[in-house]
Amino acid sequence: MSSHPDVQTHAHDEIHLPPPSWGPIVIALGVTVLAFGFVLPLLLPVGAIVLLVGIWKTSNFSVIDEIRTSMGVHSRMLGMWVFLASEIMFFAGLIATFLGYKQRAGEVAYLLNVPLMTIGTFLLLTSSFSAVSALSALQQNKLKAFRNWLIATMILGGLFLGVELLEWGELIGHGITTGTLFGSAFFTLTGFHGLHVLIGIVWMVFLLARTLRGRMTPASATGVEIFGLYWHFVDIVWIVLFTIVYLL
Amino acid sequence: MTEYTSQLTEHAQRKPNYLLIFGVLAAITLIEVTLATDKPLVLVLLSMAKIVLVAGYYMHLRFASGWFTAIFLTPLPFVALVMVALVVALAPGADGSASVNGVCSLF
Repeated sequence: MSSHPDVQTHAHDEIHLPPPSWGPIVIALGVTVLAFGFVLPLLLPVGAIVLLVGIWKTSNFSVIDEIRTSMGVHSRMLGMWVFLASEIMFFAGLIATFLGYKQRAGEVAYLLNVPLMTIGTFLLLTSSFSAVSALSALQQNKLKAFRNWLIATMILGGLFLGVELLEWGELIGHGITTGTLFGSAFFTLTGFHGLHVLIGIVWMVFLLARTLRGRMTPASATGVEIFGLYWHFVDIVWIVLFTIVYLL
Repeated sequence: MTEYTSQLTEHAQRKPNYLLIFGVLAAITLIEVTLATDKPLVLVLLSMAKIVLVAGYYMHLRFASGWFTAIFLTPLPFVALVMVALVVALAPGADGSASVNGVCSLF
C-alpha cells in the first residue's frame, strides 16, 4: 500500500474483500468438534486436525495484503494488537485468581523450582531475540538466515515447554495437583501460558512449511511481524508470571 | 511493492540493536534471581523494565503508530480493577473463608 495521498484516499474508499476460501468454515467446524472433545475426549484429536487444516487453508496466502485502516495503520497489525489487548485481560483474571488462592493456600511456594524456571525464562527471552532476528533476516531477503532463526525459535519454545513439564512433574510428585487450591490456580495459569507457547510453535511450523515451499519473500514480512507480536507477548506474559509466581 | 520495500528500508535503518537489548534483558533477569529476591518493589520495577524493552524494541512499539501503544495500554485500568476485586474477594477472611462479601461492599 502506498503512502501517496491519492492512493490512500482511494484505498479508504475501497471495500476490501479477502479472496474466497472455505478455510473459515473448516476452522469453525474444527473449533466446534474440539469443544465437544472436552466432553468426549475421542473427538479432541479429530477437532485439532480439522482446526489445523482450516488454519492452513486460511493462512496459505502468498503475500499478506497491505490494507490500511482509516487510522492509517495496517489492518492485520491492528487486529493483532486488539487481540493482544484482550489477552491482557484474560491473563489478568488468571493472575489475580492465582494471587488470591496463593494467599489462602499457605506456604507451598517453597516447592517451586526457581533455578529450573530461571533457565526456562532465559530460553523464552532467547526465543524472543531469535524471533525478532528471523523477522530482520526476512526483511533483508536473507531467506536461509530467516529459516535458521525460525527453527531456533521453535526449538527454544519447545525446550521451554519441556522445562515447564519437568516443573509440573516435580510439583505433582510433591502432591501439588489440580485437586489442591494452590495447584488448581498454578496449573491453570501456567497451563494457559504453555498452551499459548504451543500455539506459537504450531504457527511457526506453518511459517516454516511456507518457507520450505519457497513462498516466503520480504513482502511476507508483515505476516511474520504479526507472528512476532504474538510470540513477544507470550514472552511478556512469562516475564510477569515468573516474577509473580516464582520470585514474589 | 516499491513503496513497501522503501518502508522496509526505512524500518531497517531505524532498527535497534536486538542483541544489546537481549543482553540487557538477560542481565536484569540475573539481577532478579540473585540480588533482588527479597525486594518486592525492586522485582516489580525490574519486570516492568523488561516489559518496556520487549514491547518497545522487539514488538517495535517505539517506532510504530501511537494507536498500537494506546490499544496495548487501554486494558491496564481494567486490569487494576480486576486484580483488586479478585485478590480481595479470594483473600482469606477471619474464619478462613473467601471474603466475597467484602469485595461486594467495595462497589
